[in-house]
Parts: sequence; structure tokens; C-alpha cells
Amino acid sequence: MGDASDVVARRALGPISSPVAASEVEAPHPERRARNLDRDEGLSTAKLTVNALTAWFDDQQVLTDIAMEIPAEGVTAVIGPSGCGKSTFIRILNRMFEMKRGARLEGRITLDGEDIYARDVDPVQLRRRVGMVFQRPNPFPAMSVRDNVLAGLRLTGKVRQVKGGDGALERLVRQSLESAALWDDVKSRLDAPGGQLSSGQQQRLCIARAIAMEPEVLLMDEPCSALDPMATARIEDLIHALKARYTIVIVTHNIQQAARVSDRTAFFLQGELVEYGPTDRLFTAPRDPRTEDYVTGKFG
Amino acid sequence: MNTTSNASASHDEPLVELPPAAPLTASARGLRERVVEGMLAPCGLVSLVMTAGLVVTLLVEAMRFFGDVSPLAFFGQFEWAPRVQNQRFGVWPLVSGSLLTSAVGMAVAAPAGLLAAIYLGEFASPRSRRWLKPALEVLAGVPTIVFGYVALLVVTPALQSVMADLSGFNALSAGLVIGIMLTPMIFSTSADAISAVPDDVREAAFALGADRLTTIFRVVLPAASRGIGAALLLAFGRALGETVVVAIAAGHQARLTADPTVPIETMTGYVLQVASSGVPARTLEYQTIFAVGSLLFLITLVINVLAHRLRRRLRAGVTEVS
Repeated sequence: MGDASDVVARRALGPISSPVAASEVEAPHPERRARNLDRDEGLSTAKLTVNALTAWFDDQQVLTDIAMEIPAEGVTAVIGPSGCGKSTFIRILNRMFEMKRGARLEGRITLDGEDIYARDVDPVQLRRRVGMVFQRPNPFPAMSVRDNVLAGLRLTGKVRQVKGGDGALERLVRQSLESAALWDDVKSRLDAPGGQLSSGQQQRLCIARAIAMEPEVLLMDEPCSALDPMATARIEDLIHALKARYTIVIVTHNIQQAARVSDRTAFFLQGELVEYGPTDRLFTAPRDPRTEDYVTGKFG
Repeated sequence: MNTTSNASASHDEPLVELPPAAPLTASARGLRERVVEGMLAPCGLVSLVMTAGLVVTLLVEAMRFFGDVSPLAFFGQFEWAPRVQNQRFGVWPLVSGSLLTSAVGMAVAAPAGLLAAIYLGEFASPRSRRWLKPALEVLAGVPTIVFGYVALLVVTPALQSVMADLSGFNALSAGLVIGIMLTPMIFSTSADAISAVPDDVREAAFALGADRLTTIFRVVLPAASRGIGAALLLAFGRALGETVVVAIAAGHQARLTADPTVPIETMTGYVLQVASSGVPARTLEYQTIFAVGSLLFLITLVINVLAHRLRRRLRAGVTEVS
């Protein structure tokens, strides 16, 4: 972490709404790359790269100098105690972060090599490629199951661009619900309000809603924290099934869950990325004592 | 600082001497609670009895009226002229007068209140939110007599300067002012409905790539629609019951018209006029105000029940989501 004057100087760059700040960051420092996954730890081409990311809510620094590469394949888990900045981190990946008042950041985040905070990037287009599932199931209460699945297309006006009319939309609804392992539960009540499903079903409906947009990356912000163990198990099975098709980044406060579902784990603590590596290695042979304390349950 | 360190240093000794634990069968307390309960129950009953008495009085006098005038004449005729030689008791002109002023009022209050609620809920900064809501709600505390004279002495002359054929008494001015009166009511209730929509739902829409306006109109407002519907219904019921403004500014000429520029008479305006003109009790004219009052009571009752059911289902809907 920089000293006080350093922070003041960075702050002077202003909020991300003036995108100059984001694109004028200096080139990544070689040492920062060192914190990424080792090349021998099975890293292929990165889907998302994060460099020199520092973020604030008003005057409070919530992330400090994060550098991280997220490969296209498999599941990346982000773990850490409450308030460590893990949710903030994944919200930066689809630019949901900037919707909050007082939020600003510096750094360079790329999706397939493209700077997602560049001046000409439309957050709407970005969010179409980077879908998100939230902590609490949040289907649209006034919409039917079917309309919830199609909500992304409808709300962005893309529904008119779908070729094949209603038949194609029905196929998309079915495909998405099948992918979310929800079709058999709801096929007879597609017109019922989404709010009438159980909370586990609601969360799978939210996953169906996200994948109906055919995203490349699926961000999951503690997707099971409001669910019972049975519903959690179904979501975890679903994550295994979906990881072949999507780059999945899951935030969880549940260490066992990270161990079960992820291929790589990033451990955040007080806004810093402490350690990032293959899940097996990070849980069995952590390199940082703080990681060890956390994964063995000494705090958190 | 000192006290806390002292307290922690010697926490064997209690800081405060508490009374000894009472026996579990403390009957004094039970008696006291029964007495309090016995005194409070009649207080609750009073309002119930008053309401019941009100309804009975209303209905008894209305029945007397309908003993002399057939309901067929009341609902089947289209002329209200209880004071001329050839009396006519067709209530529709009064109903249309009430509907007309209320409709004008709602045409002002519904968009104004709703837009203000949307602004407050979705755009205003927390700091402006803190003073905006109370500021608008203060409007609801202005005495209606003030609004009445504003309608008669400010709004009507102002409108007459652009609408030459506007009568001195008319439904338009009264309706506009009723609209101003109702705006805070619609605003306040729909702002509550909008803020009851969980933030998660907005986030879901943003995450799917919806912009702010789309999110508000396609996601937030539909989710708040029951609460907003209830707000509009309650305001409409309130508009129908508004008395002073229409009595002052809308005139006293019962006529079946949809033209807001001419003098009309509302149900409430008629009741007020007759009740304040010293008509002897037990006369047919005296009884008309109970017949008209009963009808008004029935209409607003239906509206309030509908609004209440909307709100109840709204609450049920919200628990389903969370």
C-alpha cells in the first residue's frame, strides 16, 4: 500500500466516470505480474486480466493494487472474510461497481485483451458478455418465469433482433432453463410469477436469466448464501455442468464451497490479493501464512 | 474513560443494586395489567360504536328518504332539483360533478405525485431525499379552506386571463387545486411503494444490461404497481370526499356535464350547502343529504376496500420475493 501522499495523488485522478483516469494508468509493474498464477500452475490464455486495480468508496480504499489473471477455462473462486473486497472485486469485472455512489477506481481490466473501462466501452454491451448472479435470488417479481428468462433480451430491446420469432424465444427459454437444471421444475408453470418458486429455484431462475444472454463470463456473488444445503448442492452441481461453457468467477465466504467447485482460488484480505493459485495447492500448501490461517479456520 | 476501566477492574461487584428477583406468581402485576386492559378496551370500542352509529344514522335517514322518493327516481333520472316546485331527485348530476372535479384533480396529482416519487426513489441524492419528502408532505398540512380560496381567488382569475369563457365558479379550478392537494398523498404512498422494491431487483436489471429508465419503467414500477395502484385509489377516494374546495370554487349548480369550465355541484358540495342553510329536520330536503351522503359513503367505501386489498396483496407479494 502506498503512503498517504501517494493515495492523495491517485485520488486526484478523479472518478471512473471520466474514463481518462482508467486509460491513463501506467504500464503494469513487472513485480505485480509476479503475483499472478505461475505459468507452471496450468494457466492458459487469460479471459480477464486485472492490473494495478485500486478502488474506493468515497474516501475509503476498498481494493489495493490488485493484479490477477482469470483464465477462460474452469472456475475461479474468490474467498476472504467479510469486508475483504471480494464482492467489490467481481462487481468491477462487469462494471456494476460504478453504479454505487462514491465508487471510483484506477487500474486496467481487460476482457479478451480489451480494456473494459476504456472511454468507448458501453457497459451494456460488456454486461451482455459478463453475466452476473447475485447473493439473494432476485427474479423480477412482476414477471412470469418465462419473462424472467427473457428479461435480458426484453430490457435491452434485443428481443426484436432474435430471428425466428416466438418459436425461437420458446426454444431459448427451454434451453436456458434446461441449462440451469430448472426446466423439469417449471415447465408446467412458465406463466407463474417468478416470485412463487422456492428460493433455490429462484436462484436457478436467475442463472437461467443470466445464461439466456449467452454470456462468456458468469460472475456469481455468493450465490448460495441465502440457500439451504440441498439447494446449495444443486447450484454447485450446476456450476460443474456450466463451467465447460462459461468462464465462471464465484465469490464465496464458504471455504469448503470454494474447495468443492473451483479450479483456482484467490484469497482476499483487507482489500489486498494475498494469494492466488490452483485450489488444491492453495488449500493444501498455502504460501502465505495469512492464507494458511484463513483456510484452516483460524479467523474469518 | 475512568469509569469503564474501574468497572472492568472490579466486575465482581455489581454497578447497580438491582431489586431481588420477584416470585414467579407476582399477582400484583397481573391485576394491574387487567385493570389497564379493562380501561383501554372501552376506548377502542368508542370509535367502533361511533362509526357504527354514524352508518346507522346515515342509513336510517336515507331509508326515510327512499320511503318518499323511489330509488328508481334517484338513480333513473338525470336532473337534480330538490328545491323547485316540481322536485327532481336524479342524483347523477351530483355524481358527475364529483367525478369531474376528482378526474381533473387526478389528472394533475397522478403524474405529478408519481414523477416526484420516481425522482425521489431513483434519482435524488440521499441528502436531497432527506428534505424533499418532508417538504412535499407539509403541503398535506395546509388547511383545505386555504386551498379553496386559492382556487377561487387565484387559480380561476389566472385561468380566466387565458380562457375567456371560464365561469367564476367551475370544476376546472377546483379540480386543479384538489390535484395540488392530492399530489403529496400520491407522492408519499407511491414513494414508499417504490422504496419497498428491493435493490436486488434493480441490480439484476442493471446486470442484464438495462439502462436506468428501462429499469424504472419495466422493472421497478411494475414491481411497485400494487402500491402505486393503492395510492391512486386512496387519492381518488379522498378527491371524491373533498368538500371545502368544491363548495367554494366549483359552484352550486347541479348539472350533468363533462365540461369543466361551467359551474357544477358535487355530492359533498350539496350536502354542505343544505346542512349549513338551516333546513328543518324531518323534511324531505333534509333527508336528501343523507341519501346523497350514503351514496358517497358507499362509493368511497368500495374504493378504500379495493385499495386495502391491493396493499395487502402487495405485502404478500413482497414476502414472497424476500
